[in-house]
Amino acid sequence: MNEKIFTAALCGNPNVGKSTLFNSLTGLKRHTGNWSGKTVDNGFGGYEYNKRRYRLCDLPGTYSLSPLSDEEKEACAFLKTESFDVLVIVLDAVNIERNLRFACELLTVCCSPVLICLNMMDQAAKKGVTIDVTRLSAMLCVPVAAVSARNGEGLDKLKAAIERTVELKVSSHRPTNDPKKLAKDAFEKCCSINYDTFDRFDRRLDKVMLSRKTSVPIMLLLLVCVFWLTLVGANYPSRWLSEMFAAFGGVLERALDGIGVGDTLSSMLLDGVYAALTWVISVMLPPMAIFFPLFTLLEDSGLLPRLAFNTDTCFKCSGAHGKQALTTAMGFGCNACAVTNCRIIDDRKERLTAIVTNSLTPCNGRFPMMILIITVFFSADVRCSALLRAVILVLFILLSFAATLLSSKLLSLTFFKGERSSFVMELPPYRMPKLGKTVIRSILDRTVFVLLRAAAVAAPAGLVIWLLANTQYNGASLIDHLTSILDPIGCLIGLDGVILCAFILGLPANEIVLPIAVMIYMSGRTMTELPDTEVLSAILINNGWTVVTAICAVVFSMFHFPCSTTLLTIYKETKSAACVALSFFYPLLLGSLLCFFIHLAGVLVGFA
Amino acid sequence: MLPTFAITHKKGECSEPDRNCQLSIINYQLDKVGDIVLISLDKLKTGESMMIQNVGNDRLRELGFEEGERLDKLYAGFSGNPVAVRVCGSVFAVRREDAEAVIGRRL
Repeated sequence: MNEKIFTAALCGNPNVGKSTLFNSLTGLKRHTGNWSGKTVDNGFGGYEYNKRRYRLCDLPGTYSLSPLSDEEKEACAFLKTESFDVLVIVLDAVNIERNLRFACELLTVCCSPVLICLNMMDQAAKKGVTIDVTRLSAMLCVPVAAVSARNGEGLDKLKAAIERTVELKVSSHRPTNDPKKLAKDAFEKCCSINYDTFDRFDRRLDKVMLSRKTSVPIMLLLLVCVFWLTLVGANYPSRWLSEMFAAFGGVLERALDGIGVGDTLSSMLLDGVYAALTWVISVMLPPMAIFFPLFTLLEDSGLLPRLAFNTDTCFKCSGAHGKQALTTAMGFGCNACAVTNCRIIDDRKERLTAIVTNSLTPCNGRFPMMILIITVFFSADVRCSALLRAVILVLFILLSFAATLLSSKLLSLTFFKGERSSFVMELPPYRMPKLGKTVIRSILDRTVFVLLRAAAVAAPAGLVIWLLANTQYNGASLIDHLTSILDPIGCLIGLDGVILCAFILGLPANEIVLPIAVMIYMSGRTMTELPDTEVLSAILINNGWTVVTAICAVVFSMFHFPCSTTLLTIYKETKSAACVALSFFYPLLLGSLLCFFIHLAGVLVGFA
Repeated sequence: MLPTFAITHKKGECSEPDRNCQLSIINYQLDKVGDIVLISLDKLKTGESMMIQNVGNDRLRELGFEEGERLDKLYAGFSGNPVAVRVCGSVFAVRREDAEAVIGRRL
């Protein structure tokens, strides 16, 4: 095999499918979705073709060679400073008119061999867009390959075109016309669009999704549906996994007895490590594995930018950038990823506002705890359906949204005071997500992610809890000492020392908070099987939980310090310890104050 | 005789501070010149179209908001902000204060 590795860089406007193409060629899994700004850093991968090795670089999208945002600057810096064997300009065949401008601008300045890749040809055909690829190639004096990266069509031809371009090292004749005129000419001569069908469906759907009367009810309905599906869907796998782990726990116990493992070690392994691990997998994993794919479907369909459009008035009044709606929505998946994606906000102060307030959005790891507590305390009655639980959850989410807006306003008037920058955002065409592929891939990805986190975080946390619970000092266990120190603070804000201890020990990962709390409540007793809703309810109520405690626990779960991964990401993005400190203490202070007032109200009304 | 409309007015050619120059071109007296009425995008009604004559925002220029392009105003958010417009086949959401920088002739 030829040892030289050829480098190909993928560039183009945002949301043209560069990352999808990258994933299709390399087999990697860069984050994709139907909105501009997902890719915020350079990604590298490779593939082999005809005994040659190729290094592929996925660049963030940029609208022009005069970059404004950080990720655009990163892309342009790469194009100017790095050497590569071929530049692949990826164009969206649906939005060919606008994409051609960037391509022509790049053609007139780039000296490296260039190849144009027309992506989303399948979407273009459906919308009545016809492109004469041969003529386009002749007009622009570069090879043009037509592909549909999402379906995997045309990839072999693209690889062959890249190979030919590398071999020929074509960088000789380039168009010298004014790039704008060239783009216009190329569009008029090589492309034809049936405007009757081009965006008819999108405009009809946008009349509903962007209408002042229907947009908000539809968004709320979507949110309720997503949470209802999560609640209903998670029950069954949760129950199966619990039963399976309970049965396997018995087998494991007998096996450990059989090989002569002592009681202490056996208890440490079973009641500590195994209990925490299986709790996270059986109780926390199903809701996460269901919510994440649903969220991915919303991302892929093109609804997120519409959500940003509809909520822009709120963000504008809060002094926040309109794209903060996108990063806030991303926070539902993972706060750390959302913090990274805040790079799409150009202005530094507005970006910092988005970063600091992002942890006020409950992430995927916090939902299971919120769902469980709501299930136990607000709808334990079987007559209360999953729909009611979904509505209650949505109300809490709206509280988090309101807190995000108010906090953004506060930060824009204090720490991050400054003039607001402009806001322009593309509303991409709607795309039907590939349901099977998206859902299955997302479930698998999320399952693997949670399993790895469970092994890396939950298992050691379970061991730590067991050790603290079984190590005696001055007549009480270490965990009792710790929780009794935290108790006065906990009681002041409607919680208790155990819950606070669980949040502190849950710093590495939010999904282990409730398992830790239950394990502490159960410490000293063997947890032979994982508690279902009724048993969990009994455990919590026997340990002093009331409805007010439940509300405070849910609120504190939404508003407390971010997980360690998010804090590290914040430092990486801001290079500011002050910003990390603000991101840590601000949500904690907000959550504590809210819980204090909720508890106070509960005491006055007589519920607490 | 109607005063010449400042359509050729460029940034830096007036006594106004730069920001006002970019955003306040509409504050100059807008008079009819023949049948042509020039308005800013934020004044355009939903469902109407315009031919762009001048754009005082670099970001919008990069996105294809250029002189001679047709612009269709599709939707408007709550209290008219932001607006969704179609230019060069793509749809963009633009806030009102940025929309003020786009001047054109109503079609």
